[in-house]
Amino acid sequence: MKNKLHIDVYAGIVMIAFAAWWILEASKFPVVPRRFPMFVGIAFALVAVLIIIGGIKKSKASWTANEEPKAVIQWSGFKYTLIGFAGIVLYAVAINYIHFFPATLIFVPLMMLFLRVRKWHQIVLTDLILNGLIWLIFVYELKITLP
Amino acid sequence: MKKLLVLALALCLVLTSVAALAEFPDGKPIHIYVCSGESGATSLGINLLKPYLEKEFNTSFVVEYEKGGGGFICWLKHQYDKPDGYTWIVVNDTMDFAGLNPQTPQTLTSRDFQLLGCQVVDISALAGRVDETRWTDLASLVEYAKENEVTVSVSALGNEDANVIYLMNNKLGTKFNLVVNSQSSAACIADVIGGHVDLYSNNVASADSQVKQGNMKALCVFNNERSQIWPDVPTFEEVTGIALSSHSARGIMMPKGGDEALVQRLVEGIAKCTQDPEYVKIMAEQSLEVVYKDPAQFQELFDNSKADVVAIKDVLGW
Amino acid sequence: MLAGVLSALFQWDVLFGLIIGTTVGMAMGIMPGMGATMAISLMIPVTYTMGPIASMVLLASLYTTATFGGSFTAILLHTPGTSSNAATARDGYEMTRQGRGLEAIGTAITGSLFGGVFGGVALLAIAPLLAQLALKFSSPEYFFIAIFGLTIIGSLSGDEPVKGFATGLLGLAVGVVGMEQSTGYMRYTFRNLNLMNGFTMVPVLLGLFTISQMLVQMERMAKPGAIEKGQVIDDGIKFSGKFFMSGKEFLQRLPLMIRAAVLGVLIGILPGAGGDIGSWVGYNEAKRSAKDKSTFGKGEVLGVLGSETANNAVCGGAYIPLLTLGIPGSGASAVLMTGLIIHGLQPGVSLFTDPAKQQQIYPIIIGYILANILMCILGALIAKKVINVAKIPMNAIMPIVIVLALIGSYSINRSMFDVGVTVAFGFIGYFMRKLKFPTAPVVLGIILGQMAEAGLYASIQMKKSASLLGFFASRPICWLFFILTIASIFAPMAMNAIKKRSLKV
Repeated sequence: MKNKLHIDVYAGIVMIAFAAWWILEASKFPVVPRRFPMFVGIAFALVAVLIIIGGIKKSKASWTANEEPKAVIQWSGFKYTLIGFAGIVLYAVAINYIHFFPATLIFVPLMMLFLRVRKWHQIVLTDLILNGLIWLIFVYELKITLP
Repeated sequence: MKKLLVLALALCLVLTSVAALAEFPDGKPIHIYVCSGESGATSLGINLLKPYLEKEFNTSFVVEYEKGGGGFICWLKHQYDKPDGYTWIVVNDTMDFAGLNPQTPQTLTSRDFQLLGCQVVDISALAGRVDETRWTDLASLVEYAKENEVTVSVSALGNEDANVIYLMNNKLGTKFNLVVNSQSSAACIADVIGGHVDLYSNNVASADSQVKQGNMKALCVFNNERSQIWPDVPTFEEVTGIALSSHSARGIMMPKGGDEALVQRLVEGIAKCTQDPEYVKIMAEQSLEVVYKDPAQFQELFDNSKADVVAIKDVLGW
Repeated sequence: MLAGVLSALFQWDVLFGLIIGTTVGMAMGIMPGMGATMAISLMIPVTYTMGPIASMVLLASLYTTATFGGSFTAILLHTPGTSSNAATARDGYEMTRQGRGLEAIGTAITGSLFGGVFGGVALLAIAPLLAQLALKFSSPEYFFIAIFGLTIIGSLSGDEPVKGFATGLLGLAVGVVGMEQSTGYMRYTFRNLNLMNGFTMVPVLLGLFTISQMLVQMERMAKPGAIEKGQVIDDGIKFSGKFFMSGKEFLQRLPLMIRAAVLGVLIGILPGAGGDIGSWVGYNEAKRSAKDKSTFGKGEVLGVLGSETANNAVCGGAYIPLLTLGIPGSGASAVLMTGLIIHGLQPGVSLFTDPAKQQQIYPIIIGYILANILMCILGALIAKKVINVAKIPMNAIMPIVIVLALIGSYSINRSMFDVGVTVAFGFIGYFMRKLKFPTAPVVLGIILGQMAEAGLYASIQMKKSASLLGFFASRPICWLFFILTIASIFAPMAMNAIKKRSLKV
């Protein structure tokens, strides 16, 4: 408990990793195209260091106050978000395989149930009206080919 | 009961075969996929052709824009669509040579599709400011450029506008330097008219609006004969004695493997619409030169464009 | 002449064009992913059978209304309808969450009306003059403008400027992906064709602003009993408060609106800068001149006012080089130009000087101004209905927003890759928000980073044998923005130092 670090420290570490990869890739470019990405990568790494320093300061402050550093991401909430995000990803993938309308017709009620909408008529109406409107506007009127 | 079932089945079979025999396009909309954005000459040419196509084929046409990857995203996406005549794809002649660039290698070429016809051949041109004092025409420009740096505004590298400048330096020993402004060709024009860059390299359609207004002066066209849009502007060959042709050709193609009769119908219909005098006239108003080519001639154009670029691969650094 | 212009304007087909243009524009602006450019290119064929004035009034109305329509979804759902509404989403959505959504929309309407009319009046009065000004700008000037613009990032960073710089740099990095302009070299594309021209703006925006917002909401809903107890924010918000600002407030805010409109027109004139920059510049102008800057990002109505005034003024500004020089100031006005030519109106100064052409062009410009007024009326009429959208419980509306965001992302290039980009940036945006990294600087970083690098390299190509510094020093407008940049960075520090010293005494 005492030695828990503020999340900014971890964020800074991820940033440095990204900057390292970025700079490595940029070093493969010819001279002219390399300049600007190098500048961006080095600046990003420097800013990441500043953030890590700031994070350590915040951690120390919370240790002296004998508190846990405010955990910005609680696992219980994050788990829920992760599942929701997985749902969105699956929906995008599904659009590719079973086409837009079947995917959307399935996604909308599932997502609403996940978000704890309990009124069945709300779910069915929303699903039908949304898909209907999209069909009307995008397919019938604008004649855009949906995936 | 059994008899009823057999009768129903037979009826279904008859109906579907009748449907199959029904005349193309049978009222179903035809999709034209444009390999660039909505605000360009390619899109304009197609949108102006659309009403004629709709009348000829008696169905609606839907134009969709799928830009990116120099056109390859659109072409790759529809390469294996059903060749049933309802998928048309707009193509330009960079297809066969753009893939030679080692940075964007592609093996897809025009021979992977069924060409249906060419609509527009937009000739490359060079234009400068009207009030320019350092030269008055192409001849004096070339003399000046042999001794002094001259900047040329282009909107992108790797296409015919930039390639033709490399070729000029290669053949004449001039010192033309490219200034790339990828914002838009409008930004390039502003650079030239505003006095920041000396010349504008693009095609006739793009420069014509400025020439008509008297903001720019056309110096030459890169073709073996003069442009119909600019009959008074000399060709590069006329002035320098060196043959140099460059253009952007646009047309329509479809996925390979279509029924021969269907393809023939499409080719004829497109030929008729493209050569309609009304269409040619409104295109000319937009400074677009309609040059119809049938599939065989179109293929020849692709092959020639590719050969031209292969010849200068070293100059381009490819 | 006035009589001739008015009689040309008040014809049935012209008024019909005005109404159609305004309503269709509003609808298209509201739908995410649709924008002015798409709206105009879709409606051009409709105008073939109409006369020149009617057609151009229709298209001009489309342009300005589509830009305005996007502010609705930006304010109510944090979903910018077009990239020029992203700045509005920032404070507009916060206002909705505080129950002040009606005020936000009313302010957006007022700002858009003012900006649009201002642009139209500028067009009428001094178009040829402003066009000449536009020609003085080129890549070196854009480079310095971009650097100056990047200093705005500091003001969008809230409490932790370091984090603002971090996300600004992330934006610069995202902007790097794609073809390098001066050499054609592909950077960070890994041979993926979809990245050849870099990331498309709107999918990135929809991810960073909209999908990330949805994910943040999901986390809030995860708290046990949150939904059942009605603790989920936005569940059944009561909309109180005013709609339009009072006369007194209008007068107080007039100087800001004028400044934002002037900036918008100037940006619209420049072919190298677009509407999305206009809205941020307007937003920044509001913040810069505010007494209490800490309210920005937390539902500050002046932020909405600044961005919406500027982005509609951009439309008017974009007409200026289009009509006088035949140089479109934006993608949408490029499509408009084809409409002009189709109807026999060749762009050029003669449109304003030749009496015969004046009879056509002036009704079109006045029609454009009228479109702004009609847009305001239409907006006001539907606002109270549309605002009910925000009253729908969040958990019912979130799936709809997600679907609309993905479909909006898809329709730009008909590309599933863009949908993937939206989802990925949604995830990144979620973490950014949780870790208190501001998302707005990413957008600026993308736009301005590309502008800065392209401007720098084009300047190197342009300078011929001169030295680069000498080349920059020879251009007065570069000096102007250089001084502004220095002032922007050091003035706040200097002010603080002076304050501290005066407090000590």
